[in-house]
Parts: sequence; structure tokens; C-alpha cells
Amino acid sequence: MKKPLIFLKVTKDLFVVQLMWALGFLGVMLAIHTIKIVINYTQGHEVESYYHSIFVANHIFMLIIGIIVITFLPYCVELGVTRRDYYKGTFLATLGLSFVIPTLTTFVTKVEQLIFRYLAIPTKEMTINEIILDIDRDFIGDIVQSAIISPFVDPQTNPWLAIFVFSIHALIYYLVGWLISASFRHHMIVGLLSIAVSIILIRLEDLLFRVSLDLPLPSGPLTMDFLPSSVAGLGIVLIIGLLAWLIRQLTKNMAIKI
Amino acid sequence: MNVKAEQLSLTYGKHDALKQVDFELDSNKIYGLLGRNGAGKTSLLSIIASFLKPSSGKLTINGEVPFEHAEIMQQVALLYNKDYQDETDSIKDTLSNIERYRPQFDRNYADDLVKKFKLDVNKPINKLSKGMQAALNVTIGLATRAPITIFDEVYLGMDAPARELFYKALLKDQEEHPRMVILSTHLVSEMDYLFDDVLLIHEGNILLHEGYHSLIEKGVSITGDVAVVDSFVQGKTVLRTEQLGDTKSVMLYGGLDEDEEQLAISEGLQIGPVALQDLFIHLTEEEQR
Repeated sequence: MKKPLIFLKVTKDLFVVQLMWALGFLGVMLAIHTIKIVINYTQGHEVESYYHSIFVANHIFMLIIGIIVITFLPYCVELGVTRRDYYKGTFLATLGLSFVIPTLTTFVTKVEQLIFRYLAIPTKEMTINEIILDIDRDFIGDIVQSAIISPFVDPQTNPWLAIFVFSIHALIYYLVGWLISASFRHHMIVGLLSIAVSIILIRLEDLLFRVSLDLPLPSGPLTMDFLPSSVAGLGIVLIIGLLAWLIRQLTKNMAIKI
Repeated sequence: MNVKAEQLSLTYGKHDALKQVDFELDSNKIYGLLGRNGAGKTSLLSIIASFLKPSSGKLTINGEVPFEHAEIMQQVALLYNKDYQDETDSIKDTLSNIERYRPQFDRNYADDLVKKFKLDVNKPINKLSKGMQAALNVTIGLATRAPITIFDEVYLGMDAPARELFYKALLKDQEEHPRMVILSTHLVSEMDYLFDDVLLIHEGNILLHEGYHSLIEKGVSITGDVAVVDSFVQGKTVLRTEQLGDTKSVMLYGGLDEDEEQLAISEGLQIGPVALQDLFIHLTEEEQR
């Protein structure tokens, strides 16, 4: 008899739940964005795209739902689901969500661009990748920069690459949230350590993306401009793999306290 | 189903919650797991349900280690006093979710129990009273029909009529769908008639594992003249002594054979039964001394 694939049930359930949250988030952001457009347009300013608004805010959204997802582990074990199936199901749901949010965002942005063109509304040029060159840089500044102004591809120039880059950012921020919450469930020291590891990995991912996409690089000891693009791309895959491996190690024997 | 523990231990830091415990449960019976607060009941049940991994020793279900064993974990359900304050799903949605994951879940039976307990299926669970939440837990436990069903003090918030309803439903469903049920409880006097077997756990050790009736037969109260009672109980395990004037009452553990019974009667002593609750209280007290 064929065994039921329980992890696929977890995938479906978590994907649907998180998609509902994501639609709520995207909807609220769309409302805010529309109000901003109206204000900017009436004041004669250029307006920025929906993609631009979501790109930065989504990091925080993915981080938060990544933190929340650990609460599904006790729920799953109570239903007789193994930690392995919870992990596989959650990871697959995350992959789906990381792809769906950028895709929806790009689609809305495309529709928005058509409307802008039709109404002859001037749009703002996206210069997010150049901002790093103007910043007076220090360690804290680098961290904030990584969180806010991640390497960016304009969906107007290459929509598929834009979706891909956005998806990878979303995935990494989700995994970082999951890692941090799983670590704190073990011990506060492990949790604090995981925050430090996460900051380093996000910073590293930021630099590797800049190398692989041939975007402006900040000066300093960690520029990595000597790396070929393919190696930088492999580095990003390794970061995702490392995060996924760490989460599995933290959750595979996790105690459910009652 | 067979549950077997061999030298099973669980340690939290420097505290030994379970100390090299050995026992075996191998029938579709209702097992009463009794123990005082902090005795190790929840720790033991958590290991059976794969909520925790033992620190050392082994627990097997049908010869397999249950922890992270997908097929075995599907066969075990542990219901406990869950904190539902963040649970905004309705009872209807919750039951539908459980139905998707639990292969033996009987939705019709669950709906029937929900009606009996007068639960509002559309109300968010965190808006239900503690008693209603407890009734939902027992509903889930019964309707899941897991071959190993564990209730860990889940009925505490329920009022007396609701508890009575649960006891009746449990006995009826156990008869129609035999399975292993483990009831952990403090309500010994109220629930003792449900137990086929009793496990007594104290300070991380299994003090006894015995059939309910044979255990009850081991408890005897002897009442009579002080001197006669003192002479009769010499060499026997005395759990409790009470004296009023020249009359003494002694609770013995270990039972009486036929000759001893005849001797007691011939000496004018009264022989009486001892309730499981009294045995529980005094056996665990005895260990503390």
C-alpha cells in the first residue's frame, strides 16, 4: 500500500495559511501605496512603483512569518506528524511563498505601469543599488543597509530575473526568522548566537548578490569583487543550504513541552 | 499494541524526572496512571507520544522506537490541558484539520460528542470556557480513535456532569472500538472504576503495575481491639493506623490469605476493603518517609 505523504499535507496547509497572511500584507501595502501615489501625483512629484514599495517591506514580513512558523511544530507533533515531515512541508511551503509574493508583486507592478503610462503619470527611477556608494559606512550601517537596500533588479528591465532575485531574498529572510525562533526554543544563548550568524549570512548574501548581478559594490575588506559571478551564485546557494541545515539540526529532536 | 519501557530515564538538568523505569503495557485496556504532582507522569506520557526523547534507556511501541517514526506517531494521541488562548480557529475548523491528519478519526462521532457536550462549533476556541475547552480535548481524544490514546489530566476543567458524560462515552467507545487508553489523573476516587490496570509512579519510579482488582484486594483494613489488632498485624505492611479509645483501625497492604481471614474473624476483628485513593495516598506517603 502506498504510504500517505504527510509532508505534502503540511506543505499545503502551511502554504495556504501563509498565503492568506501574504495576501493581507500585499493588500495593505497596495492601499498605502495607492494613497502615496495620489498624494505624490497631486503635489506634482514622481511616483515609485509597487514593486519598489514591497521589495523592502517584504524582508520584514518574511522574517516575521519565519519566526512564527516554529509554533506549527508542536501543532504538527500533536497530530502525530514527525518533525521531519514538518520540516519538509514547511520548507516546500516557503519555497512556494517565496515565489508567489514576487510574482504577484511583479504582476501588480506591470498593471500599475500600464495605468501610469495611460494617465501619463511620471515614475521615479529606481536607484536603490547605487545608494550604498553614498552612505558613510560602518558596521551598523552595513547591517541596516543589508536589511533595507538589498541588491535589486528592476522588473521593467528583466521581470524574470527581478522575480528570481526577490524570491531568493524572501527565502533567505524567512529562513533567518525560522532559524532565530528555533534557536531561542533551545536556549537564549543559542538564540542570541543565531542572530549574530543571521546578520553575517545576510551581509554575505548581499555582497555575493552584488557580485553575481554585477551591481555596484561597497569598498572595504569584504567587497568580494575578485569572485567570478558563478562562484558568487554558488555562495548564495550554500548560504541557503547552511540555513536549511542549521534549522533541521535545531528542530529534528526538538522537545514539545506541555 | 505493545508499549515497553526498559531502563527509561529522563533528565532535566540535574533533576531526574524518570529513573530507569521498566514496564510493559500490552493490551487494549484502560490503564490508570497515578502519581503525585511532579512524580513523572507527564514526562512518561510525553515520551510515549514522541513529544520528548528519553535521556537514556529505551521505549518501544510494537518493537519500534516511536520518536520520529511516522507510522507509529500516527497511532498515538496525547491530549492534555492545552493553552488555547491564541487559538482563533472554530471547533468545526479544528476538527476538519484533525480529520486530515488522523487516519482513524471519526468525524460523525466527534460531531455527536460536540452536541452532547453542548459546544458551539462556530465559536473560536479561545472564546470557550476552560470547561468547554476540556470537553473539546476529550472529544478530540475519543474521536481520534488512536490505537494508543492518552489523556493527561485533560478533564480537570470539566464540571461533574460533563466528566460523567466523558466516563460513560469512554467505556462505551472502548467496548466498541477496543484500544489502549492511558488515563493520568488526580481524580482517583471518581475514576477508579474505569481502570483495568493501575500504574503508580512516584518520584520518577514505577512503584507498582497491577490489575485494578488484584490491587484493591491487596488493601485491607483491620479494625478491633488495640491489643488484638497489634498482634494480628505484626510482620505485615502497615500503611496507616488510626486509634480511638480501645479501638484501632489499621490499613494493610499485601492482602490476607484464607487462614489469616479466618483467624481475624475468629479473633473478632472486622475486615474491610480499602479504596484505591487511600492506597494511592498511603503508598506514596510511605515512600516519602
